[in-house]
Amino acid sequence: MTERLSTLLREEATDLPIPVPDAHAILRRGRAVRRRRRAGTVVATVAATAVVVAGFAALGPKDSGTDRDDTAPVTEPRSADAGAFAAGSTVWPRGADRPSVEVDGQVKAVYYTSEGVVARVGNNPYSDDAGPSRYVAINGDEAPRDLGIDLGDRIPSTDATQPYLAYADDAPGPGDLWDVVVLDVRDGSEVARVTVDGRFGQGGWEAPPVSLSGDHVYVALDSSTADVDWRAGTVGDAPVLGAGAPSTVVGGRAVTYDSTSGVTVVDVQTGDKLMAVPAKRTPYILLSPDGSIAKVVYQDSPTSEESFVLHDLDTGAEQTVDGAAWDYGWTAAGDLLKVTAKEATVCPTFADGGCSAVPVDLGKGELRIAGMSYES
Amino acid sequence: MAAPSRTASDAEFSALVHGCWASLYRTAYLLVGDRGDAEDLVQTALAQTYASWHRVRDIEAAPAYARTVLVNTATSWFRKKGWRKERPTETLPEHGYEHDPSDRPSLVAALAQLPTRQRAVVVLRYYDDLSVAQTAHALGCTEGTVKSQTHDALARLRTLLGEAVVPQTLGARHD
Repeated sequence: MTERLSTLLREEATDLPIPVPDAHAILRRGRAVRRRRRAGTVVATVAATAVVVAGFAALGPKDSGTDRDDTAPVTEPRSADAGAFAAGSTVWPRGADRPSVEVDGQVKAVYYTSEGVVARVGNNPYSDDAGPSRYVAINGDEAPRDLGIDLGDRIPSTDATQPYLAYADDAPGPGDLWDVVVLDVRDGSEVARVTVDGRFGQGGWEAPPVSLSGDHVYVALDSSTADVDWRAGTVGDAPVLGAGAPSTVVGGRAVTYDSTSGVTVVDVQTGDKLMAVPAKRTPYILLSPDGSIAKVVYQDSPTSEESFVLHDLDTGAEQTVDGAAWDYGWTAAGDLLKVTAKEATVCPTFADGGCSAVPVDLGKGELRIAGMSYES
Repeated sequence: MAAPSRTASDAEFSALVHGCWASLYRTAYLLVGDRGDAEDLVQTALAQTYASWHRVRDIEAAPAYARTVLVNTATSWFRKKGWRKERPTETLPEHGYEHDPSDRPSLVAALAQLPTRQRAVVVLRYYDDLSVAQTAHALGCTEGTVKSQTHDALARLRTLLGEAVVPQTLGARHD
């Protein structure tokens, strides 16, 4: 029996002098964690990485909000706690039970921001066509605002906690120069332009894919991934991401693939491994828009089309979800969103309570759920 | 319907800190065997909880969430290179209070000699009084793993502390 052991443990603990908690210090630390997680804030070690180009920051940050005060409030995702999605030229920016918005063209993809969503719009719903790709900001009931850019087949990026859209553009000058551009989706103004030097020829895109996470834009080059602090206008390297396939960084976290060590979710700034899956399981992992949850499909399993696993990257908790992972996108807050022709369903993650479905009539347009990649 | 994303108010979070601090600290101390590390561990766990507040959903669920984060964080610490080297296992950690001289002095040191997963299982099951299922949930492993780790941990503690503290039995509580 173990009663004696329990008694001793309790006596040991009960007799322990308890220090007085400093709630304010913990609160400050919590804000720092949240801010770092969302902003991928530069840590001191990054300052030691090489600056690969000096001619950056032709345009400094306008709305820089460059405060990195740990006590500063962090913007919560405002858009679409019920999930955003589109079909054809219709966008539901705040869930199926809120008004939809019509845009001029077919929606190719929908991106979460802190100020509603941004819809990528063109002549058809596909991302790899040679036609235009315009970007339209939609915030609640306001009329859609065209951001005045046509990015072709390039892969831009937003951060669900910020009002910005980032993309790469050809930079003037000799050599392999790219401008990383950051737009404020509230008015379409350019808030930063930072030049990156590096060859890019993979994938056939017009410019390198980028990933915006807080103060950082990660740029996938042929031989490395550049780490651009767009607020400071500095360029370094992101060794954790390396070269090769572009990684999507959300909440400062990314999925990395290695044929030897397998698939890992890492903190991009610190290199800490948050979870790892052996390569033999051929896992497919997608992160929630806030980077707190990994959606894992074990493709070696005969039931990989019937269920998948959610992994809480903070607690290590796991939750098995019935259904095919490909049918589920995310809300901005990290709940699961499934949309069919007739209804939109939100399923809370790591919480009690069942899914909630709201009727919707998608029509005949191609479905596009916010936060999901439709790149070819 | 999913609860909306939200942050804790300062008052709400402060209330949580003060409400569960002592309980978390005691668990942390039994896990790491050092008061300074225990304090740091609880602070870290609560800070992580604050950062993930939208996952907590319900203020009443926050202490359990924080405890899960605490155990997970401790496990992460244990995995770090050098943790064991920094922790003497043959000597007692500092104590500022009186002991029962018969057997209590060796308890924390005995815990420190367990592999980290076994230590966590013992603390969660026999101090925090979690069931096998709850322990498995907190540690992110199967119930079978919890049972086998419990068995091995008790065998080891029996060797270290004697039959009087951990008598030989056929099964363990909560199985």
